[in-house]
Amino acid sequence: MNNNFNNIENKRKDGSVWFNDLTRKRTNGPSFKDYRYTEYTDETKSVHSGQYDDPSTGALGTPIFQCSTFYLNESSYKAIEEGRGRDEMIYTRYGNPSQWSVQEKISALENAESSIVFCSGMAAISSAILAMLDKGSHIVSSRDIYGGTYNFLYEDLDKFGMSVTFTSPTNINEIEAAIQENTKLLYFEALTNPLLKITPIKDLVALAKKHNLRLIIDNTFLTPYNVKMLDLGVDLVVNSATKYLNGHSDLIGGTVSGSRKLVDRIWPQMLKNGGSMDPHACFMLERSLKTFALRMKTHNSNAMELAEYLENHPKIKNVYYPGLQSHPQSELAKEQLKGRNSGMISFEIEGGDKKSHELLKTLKLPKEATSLGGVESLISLPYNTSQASLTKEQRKSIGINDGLIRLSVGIEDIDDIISDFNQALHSIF
Amino acid sequence: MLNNINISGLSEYANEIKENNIQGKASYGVELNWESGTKTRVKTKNMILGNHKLVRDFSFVIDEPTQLLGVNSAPNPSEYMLGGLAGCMAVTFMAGATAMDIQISELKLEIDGELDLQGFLGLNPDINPGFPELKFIFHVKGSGTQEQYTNLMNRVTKHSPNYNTFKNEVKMIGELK
Repeated sequence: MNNNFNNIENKRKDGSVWFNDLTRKRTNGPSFKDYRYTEYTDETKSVHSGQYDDPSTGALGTPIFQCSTFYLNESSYKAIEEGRGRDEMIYTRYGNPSQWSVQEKISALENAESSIVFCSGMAAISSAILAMLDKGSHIVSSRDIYGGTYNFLYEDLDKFGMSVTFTSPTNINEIEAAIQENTKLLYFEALTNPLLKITPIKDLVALAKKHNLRLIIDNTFLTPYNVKMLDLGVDLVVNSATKYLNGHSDLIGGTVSGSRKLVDRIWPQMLKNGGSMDPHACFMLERSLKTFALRMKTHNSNAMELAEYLENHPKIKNVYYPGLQSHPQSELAKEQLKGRNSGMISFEIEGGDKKSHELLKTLKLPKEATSLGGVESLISLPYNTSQASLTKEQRKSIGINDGLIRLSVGIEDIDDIISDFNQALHSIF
Repeated sequence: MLNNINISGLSEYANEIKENNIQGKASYGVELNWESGTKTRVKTKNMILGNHKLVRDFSFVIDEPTQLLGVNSAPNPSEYMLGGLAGCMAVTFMAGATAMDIQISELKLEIDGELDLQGFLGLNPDINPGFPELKFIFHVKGSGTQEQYTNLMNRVTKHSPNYNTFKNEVKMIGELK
């Protein structure tokens, strides 16, 4: 398919072939079919795009291609020779129909030319970052980023002869001041954990353009249902698929999406680092994504209602939610999120961490567990999970106050969730 | 991959530039600092390829042989210049061979020239201080024919950027700061 040398064999014989004769162009994918349901909404794309109906049996739905390798043939040998192994079935770490299927669904949802699925969010993040950097490069990122990403940037980048500066995720002047001669990449999260600060994407895109940099956004907390980062001019978007994309708290995965040009550069990095997604996990993710838009709609609306309830409760001190007027960046939220404010809420309770623990024990529906984005509500305290490595004073300096609780609002009935909070708050105060 | 060159990537890049010329613009630069005597250190400046920065974190030392008043700690400027010319000609040849589907098992390139230091020393204004002539020899082994290799050499003279910088007139714009 789409090789380099269509109809130039004769020219080649007399030795007059040059690079302008090469015909292969970049295309979307890799994919089994060109049709992507681009004219449809996310609800329809979630169901139909990327699905690979088995032509030999007529089975409806993508089969699980649980194999590590594929029969080699003339086409695959030619692909290896020409360096286009990403477009052929050769070996599952390189590519597998189960991966292609879910990657196409994700590309449709992200409005991306190409995507890669990984065995974890960190595999996606580390591969994407390393693929974008040259020897001696510098990254500007945020102090508030996910701990796993922070550790990779802070502990491992220097082993590759690279460096990082951490800044505010919201102050564009501070971010620009951190850009150095060797800065190559800006790496930020769309919504920070746990205080749900909103990163100004349009300003970051303009800043990257001004300084000839690349921009990667981790959109895990928002997802492509809420904001399509590539449409805003971001170069690459990464997600922990473990969270909202899969949504059932039953697999670990990651995604990278962007132009075919850039994602093709991440592919060989993945081959070297490992981190490809197993076919069975691909099947689960593709199946889960069929309800992605439905789930996100409910996560968003449930979180909005619960945030309003919590804000009006006398025992709750502060509620952090982009959909509330009280959010410090509510104007930016309106412009960037357009009413799709995510399913994440953080809030501070009277009585500090002691009362927080009591609340978590008294609630019946939200599960006391780390992670987020599942169909079930998940609740945890940042002080002894995501920000456990900081002292109390350090936590306070970045705004994590005593009694802060992080809640991933599930898709249970919102009246049931609010009743549960009612009974729990009533019982502990 | 044939000759370990990703010809699909090259084809995709060539076709990208056909549609978007800006992606073919590559700006280069070096910064040289004198260290001592005839010894200098060159740092490569960041490149801009298309619209994006490439970080070029490399440096190398230049010196002169002791007979030319250096301490002979590194190649001299002429050798770096000829090395840069040969490197560019070699990569052009190899990419072209790959596009022609020729497996190369050995490629060696020699470039030789003689200059007259009377020009540098100002002893004779009629002497060209630079190389009046450079000779290059390709030693090639592989699956191609002599005719194909000759055609490839002609392609190198037509398309290699460094070869053409030598061959064509270059506008030199100097400034003192």
